[in-house]
Order: sequence, then structure tokens, then C-alpha cells
Amino acid sequence: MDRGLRALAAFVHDLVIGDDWRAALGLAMAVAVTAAISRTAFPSWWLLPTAILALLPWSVWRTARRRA
Amino acid sequence: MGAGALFIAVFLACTVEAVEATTIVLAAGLARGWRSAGYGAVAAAAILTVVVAGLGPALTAIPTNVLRLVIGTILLVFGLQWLRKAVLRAGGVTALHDEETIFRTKLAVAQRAAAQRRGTVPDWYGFTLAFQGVFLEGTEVAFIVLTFGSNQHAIPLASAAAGAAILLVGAAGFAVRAPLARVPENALKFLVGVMLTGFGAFWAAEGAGARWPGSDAALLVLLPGIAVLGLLLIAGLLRQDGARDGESAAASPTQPAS
Repeated sequence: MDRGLRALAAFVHDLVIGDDWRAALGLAMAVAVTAAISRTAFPSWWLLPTAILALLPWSVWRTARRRA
Repeated sequence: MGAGALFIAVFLACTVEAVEATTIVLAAGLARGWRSAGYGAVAAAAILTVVVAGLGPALTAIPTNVLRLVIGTILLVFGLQWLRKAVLRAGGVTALHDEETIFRTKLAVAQRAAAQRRGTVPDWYGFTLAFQGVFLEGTEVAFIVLTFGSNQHAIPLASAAAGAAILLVGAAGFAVRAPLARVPENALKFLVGVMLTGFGAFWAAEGAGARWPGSDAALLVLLPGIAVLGLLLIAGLLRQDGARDGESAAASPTQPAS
């Protein structure tokens, strides 16, 4: 049972997060900050596009450098 | 998001997965016999259909904002992973997904395995190979159908798009009895990665309480913007690769200095 649950967790992790957990964590944090800013009078829509703009090149660059 | 956009997004995403599953089922069928491979593929598809039918209504009962926040975030993370893989493949950092090579490898391994009958399944190896291929690739199909469909309260439409993609790809694969190597899989993966990331960001932000300027029209800027970012990254990787090749050619001249 325990092994089955661990296998399921590993499968879900691989399916959704893949091999760059840092980028996934960065996006989750960006969503959390968006929710926090949305409770104020300031606009918050710009945060997720900015996170994509920063995290995708960063993730690609790290992988490319590692494999060079 | 209109019904047409939902259909196209799910159809394209499921086409990519269906091509990969078809390659494995074809290898299983050609090497071990079509009956066992067929049983395996149908069994996996049936289980996934039950999962979608069971989870679908439950998901649509969740309040829209909570659903958009949770599903949007998962879709955003999942989509960025697809996009990243497509960029790395197109930029020459990782190998392109080669259906011909995968097919040949699976076929060679399947031809060597011993036959074993279990119940009504004439060849257990062929059944398992086809089952695993359809189940693993199909999980992503089910995931896309549930996330896109539940967000738009249109799971039947999302299921129809997935079904159309699977039928089309499956029929084409069965007709030619060879892997569908001509399908531009990486280009499709890039396009789907852009859509998953864009829609994920849009829904996650809405679920978190953000208001997009222009409402749904913001997607018309968000999606092309993400595509341009991906294309710029591919161009950068290719230029870097070219520069590295030039440097190594200059460092090791073919004619030794006299």
C-alpha cells in the first residue's frame, strides 16, 4: 500500500512537475503572490506573464548549460 | 474561451499523445499479434474513460474560482514543462522524439520475449505492452480533458475532441501499419505547450482574483507573447550551438601545421 502510494506520487510528480521542480515552485509562488496582490487595490494580472518571462528562459538556460 | 478554441486545444494535445501511444500499440500488434495488443489498448482506454466519467462531474461541482485557481496552476506548471521540452528539442539541446527509432526498439524487444497465455488473452506480453503504452500516454489525455473541460464546464466537448484525435491517429496508424513519423510532433508539442501555459496562466490568475485587461481578449496577447518567447529561446539555443560548432572546428583544424 505504502509502495503503491509512493509510486502514484512519483507518477503524478513526473506528469505535472517533470524534471525542473524549481520552475514549478516559482510558478506556484507567483500564483500565491498574485492572490495576495489581488486582495489590495493594485492590479495583479501582470505577475504570471512576468513569471513565465523569467522562469522559462531560466529553466531552459540551466538545462542547456548542464548539457553543454 | 470559445467552444472552438477548447476543441482545437484538446484535439492538438491529444494528437501528440495518440501518436506516441499508437507507435507502441503498433509494435505490440506487429510483434505479438493484434488480438492481445487490441485487448490491452481497449482495456487501458476503458479504465481511463471510467476515470474521466467519474471525476468529470465531481470537478464541475467545485466553485468556479477555486477550480480555476487549482486547475489553472496545475495546467500552468504542466504546460511550462511541455513548452520547455519542446524548446530544448527544437534548440538541439535534447534529442527529438523519434517515432521510427522508438518503434524499431519496441518491436525488436517484443519479438524476443517468450509467449504466455493468461485467461482469454493469447499473449500476455503483447497485452501488457499495449496496455502500458495506452495507459501512460492516455493519462495525459485524461488530464488535459479534465482540466480544460472542467474549467469551461464542457467535459463532453473536451472528451469529443480527445476521442476525435485518438480515432484519427489510431485509424491512420492502423491503415499504414507503421509509426506516424511524418506528424510534426515537436512543432505540435510546442504549440500545445504555448496553449497549456497561456490558458493555465489566464485561469490561475482569474482564480487568484486578478482581473485581466480586456477580459478574454487578453488571451490574444498572452498566447502569441508566450509563442514569441519560445521561438526566441529556440533561436538563441540554435545560434549558441552554431557558435560552439564554429569554435570547435577552429580549435581542431583538419590540416596539421607544418
